[in-house]
Amino acid sequence: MFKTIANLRIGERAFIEKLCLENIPLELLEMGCLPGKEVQLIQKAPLDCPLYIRVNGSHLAIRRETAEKITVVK
Amino acid sequence: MSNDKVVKVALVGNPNTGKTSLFNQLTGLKQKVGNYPGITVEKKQGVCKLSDNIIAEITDLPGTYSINPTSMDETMVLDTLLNEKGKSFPDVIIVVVEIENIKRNLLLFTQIKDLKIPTILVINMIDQMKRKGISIDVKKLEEKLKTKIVLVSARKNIGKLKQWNIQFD
Repeated sequence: MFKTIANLRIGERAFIEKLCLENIPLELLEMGCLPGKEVQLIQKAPLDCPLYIRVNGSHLAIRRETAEKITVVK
Repeated sequence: MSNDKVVKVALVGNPNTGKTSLFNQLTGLKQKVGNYPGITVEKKQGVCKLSDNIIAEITDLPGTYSINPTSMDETMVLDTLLNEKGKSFPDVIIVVVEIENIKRNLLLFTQIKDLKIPTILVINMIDQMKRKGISIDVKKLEEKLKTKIVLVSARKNIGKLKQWNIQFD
């Protein structure tokens, strides 16, 4: 079972392992959400959507379905 | 007046870096600024006197994370920067980044550099430097990026930026 950003606990940090280019909005990549970068889950809205993350020095809110497509490793 | 040399300048950068504030300072215009991205959605133009006989025609472009257009205003940025025969095609590009997010702006910065148009990197909001505990080795950064860097605070002073624009001739 892969671990994705959607599986992170609040405050937990991990490194982005893989993301499928077809499924991820281009803007996310442009903002630095790339393999090897550290990501931290800052907060989750009720029903787990959106997820508020910190990556590459920026704070972003992403949909849960997007977060589920980005795998992470510790 | 008609003997004045005109330098065309374009302001680019991520949303919310203070491009429009800088534009207002340089041109004396009062374009709308806001604390959230998406305020500048069309290009705004103004003039600024750089010296006795040099005038800058400044175009304030909408903020974008990369030249790859994903919206109408980003498409306009692309068109302006690629159309050499266009009226707003710049002689100099100023990439405005803000102190806390220099890294994120590097994608756009490298794309701009690839256009091979003279470029200045302006790091804005330096009045926040102390408060945020950030320090910058300007010389080293200039070496690495091979670009002139000017630190400004659009809210406070912009004198130096004018000088660098003149240098570009």
